[in-house]
Order: sequence, then C-alpha cells, then structure tokens
Amino acid sequence: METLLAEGVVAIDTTGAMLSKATPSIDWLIVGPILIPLFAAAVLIILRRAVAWHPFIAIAAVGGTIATSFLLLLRVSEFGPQAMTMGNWFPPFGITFVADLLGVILTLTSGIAVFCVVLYAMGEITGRERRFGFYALLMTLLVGVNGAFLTGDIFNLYVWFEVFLISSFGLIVMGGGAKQLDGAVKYCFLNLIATTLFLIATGYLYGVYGTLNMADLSKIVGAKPFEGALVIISMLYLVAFSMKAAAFPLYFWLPASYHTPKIVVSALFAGLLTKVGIYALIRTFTIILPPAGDSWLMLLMLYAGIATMVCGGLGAVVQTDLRRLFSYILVSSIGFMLIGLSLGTEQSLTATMFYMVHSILVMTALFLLSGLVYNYRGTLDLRTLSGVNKDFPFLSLMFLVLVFMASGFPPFSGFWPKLVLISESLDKQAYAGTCAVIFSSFLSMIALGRAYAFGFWRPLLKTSEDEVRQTQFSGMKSLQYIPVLVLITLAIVVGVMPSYLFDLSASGAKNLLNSTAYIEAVLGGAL
Amino acid sequence: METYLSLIVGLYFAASVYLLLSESLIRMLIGVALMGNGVNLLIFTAGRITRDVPPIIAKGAASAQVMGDGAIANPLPQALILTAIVISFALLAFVLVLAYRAYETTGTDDTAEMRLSEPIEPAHLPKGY
Amino acid sequence: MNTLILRTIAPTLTSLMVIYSIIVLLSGHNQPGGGFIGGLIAASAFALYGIACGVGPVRRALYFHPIAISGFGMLLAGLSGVVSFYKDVPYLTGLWWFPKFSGGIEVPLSTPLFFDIGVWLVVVGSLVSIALALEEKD
Repeated sequence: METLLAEGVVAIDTTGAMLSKATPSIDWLIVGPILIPLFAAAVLIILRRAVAWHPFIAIAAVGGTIATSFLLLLRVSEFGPQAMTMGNWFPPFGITFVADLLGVILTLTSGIAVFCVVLYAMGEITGRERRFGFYALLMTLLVGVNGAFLTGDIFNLYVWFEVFLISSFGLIVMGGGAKQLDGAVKYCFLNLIATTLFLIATGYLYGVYGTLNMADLSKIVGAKPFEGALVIISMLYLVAFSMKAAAFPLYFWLPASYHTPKIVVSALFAGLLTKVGIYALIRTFTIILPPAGDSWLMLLMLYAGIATMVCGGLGAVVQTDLRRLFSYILVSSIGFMLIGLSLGTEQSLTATMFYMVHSILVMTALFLLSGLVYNYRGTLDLRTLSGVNKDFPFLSLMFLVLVFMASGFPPFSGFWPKLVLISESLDKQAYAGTCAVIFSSFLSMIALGRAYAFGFWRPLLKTSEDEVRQTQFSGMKSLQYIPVLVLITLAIVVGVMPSYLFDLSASGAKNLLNSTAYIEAVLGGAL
Repeated sequence: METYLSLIVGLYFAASVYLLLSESLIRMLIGVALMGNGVNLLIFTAGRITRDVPPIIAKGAASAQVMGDGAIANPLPQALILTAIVISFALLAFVLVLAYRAYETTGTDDTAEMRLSEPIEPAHLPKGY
Repeated sequence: MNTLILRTIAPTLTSLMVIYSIIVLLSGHNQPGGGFIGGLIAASAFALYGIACGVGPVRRALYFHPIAISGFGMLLAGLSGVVSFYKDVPYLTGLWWFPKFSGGIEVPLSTPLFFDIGVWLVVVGSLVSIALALEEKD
C-alpha cells in the first residue's frame, strides 16, 4: 500500500489534468458564502446542548457571510465574473464555483434576509427547538441557497437544491401540529417531484452533450438550433424550475403550505426558496441553454407568467388568512419575474433582477411582520383580527409601507422594476404582459388594502376583545421590531436610490445575455 | 443495449406517474421511489454502456488511446448516481416518516381528505365594518 | 433477538467490524473503500451492538452523542479543504505529506484522507443516531 502510493500514484504527472496557475487568496471569497455557514452548521451541531450560544454563532456566521458576499460583489462588479475550480482539476471536469453579478447580488440579499430572520428568531425559538437543530438547519439552508447561487456546474446545482430542500423539510415540520404536517406533506411531495424532474433533465443533458459544466455547456449548446433533444431538455427544466418557483399551473403547493409552519420559517421560505427556482430558470435560459432563450418556449413562459400574476392577485383578494394572502402575493411576484425573463431583453432582465432583490426583502418583511401581529393579537384571521392601528400605530405604519412596496407604489422599490418592465413589454409588443403587470398590481393593492382596512384600521371587535386582552402583552417582544425595520429601511433605500442597484442589475443582465465573460472566467485558465 | 434500458426507464416513469396520480399517500410514496430509481437508470444509460473496460488508465498510456469513444467505461455517471441515490434515500426516508406522522395526526392517507391547511368551507370577509 | 449467543458474540463482532471499517476507510484512496462505505460498516456494527446489548451501552460506548459526531465529521471534512488556502491552490485540492519515521517507515498523509475521515464520521454519526432512535422505540 505505502509503496504503491510512493511509487505509482504520486509519481503520476498531473500537469495535463490540473491547473498550474496559483490561486490568489482573494479567490477564496467565492467559496466564503458557502463555507462560513457550513462551518457554523457543523459547530452548531457539535454544540447542540449549548443552546444559549446558538443564536450568537448563527448571527456571527451570517454576518461573516454578508461581509464576504459584499466584498465579492465589489470584486465582481469591478473585474467581472470570478471562478474557482474545486480540487484544481481542469474546469469541465472539476466542479467550478462562479460568482457573477446575478449570483452575488442574490447571495448578498439572501444573507441579509437570513440575518433578519435569525435576529427575529432569537425571541421566538425555544430551547427545545434549538436542540432539535433550528439554527443548524437554518445554516444548512443558507449553505444550500448560496451554493445554488454560486455554483457553475448543473449537477452541483442539483446537489445544492437538495441541501436546502432537506433543511427546509426539517424546518417546515418543526413544531408539528396537524395543520402543519398536512401542509408539509404537500410541500415535500411537490418539491421532491420537482427536483426529480430536474435530475431527469440533467441526465438527458449529460447524455446528449456529455458535460455538466455551465460554461462548457454554454459553449457547446450556444450555436445549436432549438430542436430535437434540446426542446425536451429545455421543457423539462422549465417544468422542474417552475414547480420550485411556484409558477402558474404548478403553484398550488405554495399557498397550501407556506402559512402552516412557524412564522420565522415561512418568512425564510417566502424570501429565499422560490427565488432560487427563478434564479435557476434565469441561469438555464440565458447561460446554459441560450438557444431556448429566443424560441416559442419563451412565449409559453410569458403566458405562464401572466397567468401566475393574475392567479396570484385573484387568489390574494379572496383570502382571509393573512399569511395565505401574503403567499398569493408572493406567487404573483413570481409571475412578474417570469414575464421579465421571458421577454429576454437586457432591460427586462434588469427589471427581473431588481425585482428579485425587492421581493426577497419585502416578502421576508411581510411574513415577519405577520409574526409581530400574531404575537400581539393571537390570530391572523382577518375576520377576527382588528384594532391593530389603535393599539400599535407603529406596527400598522410599517404594514402600510410594506403594502405600498409590495403593490409597487412610487417611490418604493417595487415601482421601478415594474415601470421598466411595462415600458419594455410595450416595446416588445407583449401587451398581455403589460396588462398583467398593471392588473395584478391593482389586485395586490386591493388585497393588501383590504387586509389593512380589516386587520389594522378596523376598531377592535367586541367578540375578540376578551382573548385579545389575554394575548396582548404576553408576546411583547419589542426587539423583534428591529429585523422588520432593517428590511423595510433597506427596501426604502433601494426604492429611493434605485440607480445603484439598477446599474448593477443592468451589467448583470448584460453578462447573462452575452456569456463570453462567464465562459472566459471559467474556462479561461484551461484554454 | 441503451435502447432496451431506455425502454425500462420509460416503464419506470410510466409506473411512477400512474402511482403519483393516485390519491393515497403511500402509493404516491412508492411512485416517488420508483421515479428516483428510474432517474438513476436514466443517468446510467445516458453515460453509455461499456462492458469489461474499467476506467483505469495504465501507466504511460497515451491520452488518445484512452480518451476515445467507448475506449473505457464512463465513471462519471456512477458518481452522479451514487450522489443521487444517497440524496433520494435521505429524502425518501424523511417523506416516509412524514407521511406516517401525517397519517397518525390526520387519521387519513387520502390526499383528497387532507384539507387541514386549506379548509374547504368558503370564508369571506364581511362587506363592511 | 436478545439471545445469549448474540449477546456473547456481539462485543467481539462489533470490535472486528469497527476495525474492518477503519481498514476500508484507510485503503479508500487507491483501492475500493472509503469513508462512506467504511462508515456504513461501522454504523451497522454499532446497530448490531445496540440490538444485542441495548441502546444504553452503545450510547455509553460512543461517549459523544452520534449527531455531535457527525457534526464534527462535517467540520473535519470542510476544514480539510481549507488547508489548500496556505498552498495557493483552490479549495479541496489534494495535498500530500510523506513524514518519515524511524526505521524507514513512510506514512503518506493527505487532505483527502482527512476528508474521508470526516465523511466516515458523518455517516457513522447520522446512521447510528437513526438506528438507535429506531431501536429505542422497541
């Protein structure tokens, strides 16, 4: 054994298989957003009994993740996409991690969302749930999401999908009431089938093109016509990712499950998970399979997006449960991103990326705010929820601001991408898309406005007075305002000064449509 | 050989879709398991089948000799399948336990009757205060 | 299952299986084997011991909680890739050492070995915790 190693294996000349270029330390920023929460998760599992430390370890780790993502964003916006190939093997063979603007912006935003969720969870999660591994699951979820945003290999993307899927399974059943288990069954089955479809598509992709590296695929597939096996593969990816993203015919699992788990968990899911589906769609139909980007498939996606927006809006109007209402608003925002992707122009992709950031911040804030309301009133049913405005005017104000944001009022962050997308869809003569965006914003406004009018503005109902008096101050945790405030402030900053994010999104969109820089970053060292 | 395996993969998917369309949770579970196995076979087939040539390169062999089509068995699909098997095993185990717990708490494994998270009775907001 | 024969043979069998699993783990880089398979063998050894002698003795023998063991494995596997930071190569690049001991014995050490040990610990920890949880129910 020892002789074998000493003579045979080590003597093998690996210069033909491995990169010889030294990796500068700064490239380690690319794996930072994955490694930091991974190590934190490991430490949290080891120290499972030291529950008092858990939130602080998690906060430190997420803080570190945000810091590395921010540095990475600075670097990527200056020097273009950055790549690091694991194990030093030549890129089509070794697994590559690529940081381009789309991935890094989303990594940073989801880091911020998770940070706020961790802060909020400090007052919410009991010692028992911490021992059960709440924070460790939160960290592995962040690992999975960041890994999905940063990987440059499509099978690896599948693995990261499964990493955050398993963590989300663990989180969604935490607590375990009957209603929650019922919702979890739907969530788990649908997501399991979606990832299996993703794997099927990846199997075909490998069978046809013989590679799984996104940059390599982009190079190989880029010049091919959109026909034959490529149609099947693209269609499978469209179905699989639409299922994850909750797009029109496949969104029913989302409003069936997102209102059942603990409020921190549903805030986290609403902020991050569907966006990973959208991210995968954007990645697939711009970088990996560019020929599908200007085919009838995009028309299909456009109509799916339109239907998603309208169904989401209509669904929101009839809901009486606050969190289910928010779930439908979330579905409607997914439709917006689909329309943006399906138009496929630089402007529309810019709007989509901008809207993704907006949606992560606002959706997380909305769900966390529903948690605050629940703490005070003990119900989220709009038929009995009442009088919040009189007793907690600041909470009510925050909700009103979020209503304006989510339905796209100027000068808040939802307005600008909608403006860009409307003008772009008029240019592309996709009038149905224009109508859908306007109509669904209108529906969101009605739904959220009704929620405000009934749940917040309405004077306290006589019937609910007794139970309200009991729950009014028992859940008083004013510290939990901070994460919601942070998210709202960020969204306001994004809305009032949209040009920074717009410039970033625009150059990100440019990189997506012209994948030369991406390919160069990954395969440049190998050529 | 690939043709026959593709047909078997098709059979797997047909059976799993049939089971997934059923209303009983346990059938759906079996459907998901079958689908996972079908995918593994699919990836295996997609890597092309080569007999009796393990992917071990002899010392000093020229690269042209070993890189040709079908010259050696493709090791990558096996790595992919191993990953997929481990992951789908973990997920399936979880969903199995979840389905059992859901059956215990809701008292049914019929998905049409599992309406706790989405109650059927229409709920409306009042028209005014 | 709790027969005298099994109870008598279980400690011997378990220790043999654990030793074998370590051999499989260590030979993994160049021969069939590795952390995953080794971990499965070790986990089944502990599961067998649990069936024969009860869950309590297994937990005492392991000393650490199985989940903590798998957490440690995760940390070890992750950290084994970080060593390459100091060599200016990407994450998870295999690095080798050949320390010489007296008597001319050369022990090849590598980062893949530590990664494999990490995988071994993760598999042992998670599977033993599942197995023990199932055995406790009976």
